[in-house]
Amino acid sequence: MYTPLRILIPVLILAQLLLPGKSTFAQKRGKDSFGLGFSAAYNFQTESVGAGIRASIPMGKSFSLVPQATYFFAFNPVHELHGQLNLHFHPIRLGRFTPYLIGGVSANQWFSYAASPYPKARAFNLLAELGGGLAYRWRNVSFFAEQRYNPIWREGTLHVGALFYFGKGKKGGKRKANDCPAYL
Amino acid sequence: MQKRILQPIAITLFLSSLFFSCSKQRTEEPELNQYSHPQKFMYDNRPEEQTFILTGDSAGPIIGNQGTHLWMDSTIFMFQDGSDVPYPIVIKLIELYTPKDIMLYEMPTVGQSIPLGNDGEIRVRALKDGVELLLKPNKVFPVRMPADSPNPLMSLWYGKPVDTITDWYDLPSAVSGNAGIDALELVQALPDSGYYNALSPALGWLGMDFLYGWNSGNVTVNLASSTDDLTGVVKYIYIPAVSSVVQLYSNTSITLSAGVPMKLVCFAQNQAGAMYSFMQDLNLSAGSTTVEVTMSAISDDALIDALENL
Repeated sequence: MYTPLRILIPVLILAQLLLPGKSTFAQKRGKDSFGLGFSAAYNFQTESVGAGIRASIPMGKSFSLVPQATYFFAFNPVHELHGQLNLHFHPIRLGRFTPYLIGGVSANQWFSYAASPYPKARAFNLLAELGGGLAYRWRNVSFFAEQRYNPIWREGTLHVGALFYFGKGKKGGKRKANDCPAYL
Repeated sequence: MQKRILQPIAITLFLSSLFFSCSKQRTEEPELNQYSHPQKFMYDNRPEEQTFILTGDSAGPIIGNQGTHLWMDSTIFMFQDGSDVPYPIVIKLIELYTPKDIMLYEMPTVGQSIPLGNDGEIRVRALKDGVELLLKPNKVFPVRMPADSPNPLMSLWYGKPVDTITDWYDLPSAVSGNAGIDALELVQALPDSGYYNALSPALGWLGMDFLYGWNSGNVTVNLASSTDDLTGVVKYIYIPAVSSVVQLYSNTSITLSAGVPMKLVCFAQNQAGAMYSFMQDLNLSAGSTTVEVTMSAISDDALIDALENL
């Protein structure tokens, strides 16, 4: 199938399923908050393990800007560093769970490119990222798991980690109606 | 409520798995298309070996389909033990006058790794009751080989089996033990006649060649492919200016002349027996050049047409 369609169709399906415009999905938002966190990453195709850091900057009710860096260690088949800038779209919450969609770009420094059999291998690459994730909120910490797909190299990466929120929203204790969302 | 959220996510992930395709291209060698030597295609499309019977009733020449003339009688032949051979004698003739025929017969025009300019190759054999005959010492037979523009640089070269190929030598002593044989050869290139006249002191493969070599700097061609395994592919470089056919037995050519128009010709069959080919014009600077080969499907007729129009 034509590559853009491969990407577009699932995104549209998810958007349609999640955004029917029904009031039952409408969530009351608390005040936005800023998050800092870390993650572990695994690229299924290169079979490489990495670690990442990220920030989460609220951008209105349903979006967050998430700058992050992910480093895949030198002992892996692929040794590389990604500097990513992603937009997270999270229109709904369900209790402590928040599903979200991911779209963004990644600046990639591929340290071990010379050893690759890939004919287009080069040290610096600009890539795209698409994916989705699910976050679980506990106090001011949000645990997340997300799957991201790189349509240029056709690789999928699982990220699992935690975000610590700072700001006016949640300060611990039980949730109230106007608390910050579980994951923003 | 949770179900209403998790359900669409599960559905989406499932559908995504159908649409997304993943690749290990950065860490694993790509799976290359496999090909084999197109034995049947080459056999079916190359000139057949022609058979003639010498009976002694006619002094006229044997004339091949493509215009080769041979003048022979029983007095020039002997058995391995030196004894005379009575009529009838069977003469076998193969004529290769085009790059297509030379390629399909895998008889490249290369002498000891040096490209030869070429105006045709023939193979002449004599048999008596299935036994291959020899030329007697000091005997020659007249040969006429057709040519559009006979070149005075040309002379007879002699094909000698070396390992799995036939290599070309400019002296008949390379293929015959007859004493003084080198002095017996004679070649005439008459510019407007449309043929070469020669006296050949040896049977077997005969080429009308000259040592072309390399004139304007050396170049070596390396073949590479990110899609195809070139192991089973038949590979040639053709030099139209001198009708030279160079075969590549690996993915690296012998030394060629830089700055001369050449054509890379590759063909093979896939595992289903369908023909694949790759052709590219080359005009290379001195040094070493890598050419990326990507084989593509071609019909038998289209490939024959392409080889006939090199």
